[in-house]
Amino acid sequence: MADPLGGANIWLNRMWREPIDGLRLSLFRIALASIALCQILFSRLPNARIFYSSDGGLLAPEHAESLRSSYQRWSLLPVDASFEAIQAMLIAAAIASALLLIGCLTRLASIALFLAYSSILYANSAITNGGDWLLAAGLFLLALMPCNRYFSIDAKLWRKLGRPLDRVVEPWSMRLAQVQLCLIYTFSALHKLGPFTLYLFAHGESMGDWMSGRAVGMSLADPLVARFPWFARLPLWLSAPATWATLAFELSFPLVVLWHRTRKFALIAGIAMHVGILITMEIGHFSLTVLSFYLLFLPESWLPACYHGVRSNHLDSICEESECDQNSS
Amino acid sequence: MSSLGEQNKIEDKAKLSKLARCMLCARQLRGYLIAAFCLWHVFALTLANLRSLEIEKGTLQGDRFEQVTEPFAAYTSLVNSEQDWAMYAPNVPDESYLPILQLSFNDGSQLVLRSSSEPDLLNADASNASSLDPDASESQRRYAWRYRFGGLSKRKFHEHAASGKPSIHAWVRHRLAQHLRAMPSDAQRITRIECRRITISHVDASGYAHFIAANAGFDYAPADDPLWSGPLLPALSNLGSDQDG
Repeated sequence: MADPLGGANIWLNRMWREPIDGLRLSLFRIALASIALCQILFSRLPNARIFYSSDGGLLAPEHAESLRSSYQRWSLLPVDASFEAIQAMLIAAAIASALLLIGCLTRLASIALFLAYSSILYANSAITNGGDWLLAAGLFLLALMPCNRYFSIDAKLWRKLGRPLDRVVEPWSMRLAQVQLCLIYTFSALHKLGPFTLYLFAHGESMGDWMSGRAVGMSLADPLVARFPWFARLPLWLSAPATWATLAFELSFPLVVLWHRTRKFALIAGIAMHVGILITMEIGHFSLTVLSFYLLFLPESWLPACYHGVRSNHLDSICEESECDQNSS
Repeated sequence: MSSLGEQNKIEDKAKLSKLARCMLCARQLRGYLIAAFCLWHVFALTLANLRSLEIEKGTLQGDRFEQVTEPFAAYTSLVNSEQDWAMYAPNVPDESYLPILQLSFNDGSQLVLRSSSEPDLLNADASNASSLDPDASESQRRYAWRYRFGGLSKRKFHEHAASGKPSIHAWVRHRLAQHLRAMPSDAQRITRIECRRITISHVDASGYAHFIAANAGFDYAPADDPLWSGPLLPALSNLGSDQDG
């Protein structure tokens, strides 16, 4: 009798246990480290006196205290940390992100960056945005990833020592990051739809800005966020399709990206949407950070041929080994 | 001799198989631990997201839901993966709020200090108190467009401060100190510092964003603020002691 759950089991096993090539993880590492390094070097450090000093700066110690007393929020910096201590943490984060970028002491650097970056976020959370929190979540996942197999000093050193790092790695940490992105889209759409949208519609009330197709036009009319005046108050015939397409994309992303045949369409649509947001709205590095997560979804066929070759050769040998094991047992 | 060698071989084999079994066990245990962690992490992220939706908040069921999901939200905070992806949801606001400072001087004149996030007024002197008149003509309340490249952190702070959170005091200190560095002589003349919140309507059919209103805020007294490190404001202190008297 055929096992009805057999197919699902095989699929789950493949998804969470089948070894993958480490290239995508290395690209993810480079992308997140670059974003963190640029943010620290070009935004946080030059404005450190304004952002992190209570002496004429924008630091409100009472705010930091009330924030950290809730849930399990933590920081390596004490609530009453001096400006010099925060500045030292910024420099530590910059060094850690530079090391991570070049893949030197990668695991240590990723853990150090996660700790330092998280501490900086809570030093003055009033200046943070969604992109910062997403970057922090990405750095946590990066600390779990074997992301030093390509483009890293570590890989070069181990090769010189005669013990090259295995480029085929376990996939679970990458899957967690992929799940995180799917959850972001799904719940972002659910937030936009609101739990009572259909109920309100049935009772003849307004369906809200997203269902009625005005949201994209309205967000581009926000003078504090939109970069250019040209798109403010788009005509409804242009704004409505963009609004509904955004909703449809966010709702369907987890399903569309899951199937290998539709994955590339999901990625192309997502890239178009985030590049559009990046061009039209000043929301910091949010779009770039989301696009970094896209690197983890890159189909095998999109990876450069040389790396693809390395991967397939390696995986073939692993499969042969496992087949031999099964035969012998 | 040969039997002794065979015995050693068998012992070595037994030792090896014991080691191999231990390694296999450790590998299996590692696999189980990773699987458990993955399950927990995905489950916690999902519940933390559901929590942020705040379905049926306020009802008994909602309260129970919040209690049940508390450990999951705590975990996501612990690993700095807080889940709240509600940008421009459920509706897109058509107004924004920013803080301003209104200084009164001993000669009766007034000065408005604005945040760096606020666009420039097209047809009015932004530093003049009359620019805060909600009855001014539509053209006087119009904002010029400001092209936005960078400055997100400061804008987030200004919006945060305008929402009445403790950070408003940090902004007042910062903005006042900034002004007094540029105009040190004003320190002798200030008699009142009022922090207010202004409302800006987003671009409408006319193609412009507009100043809508400045609500009543609070009076800031540097003498009462232990974190104020700027110059003394004698006129303000005198006024305070007169009032006390």
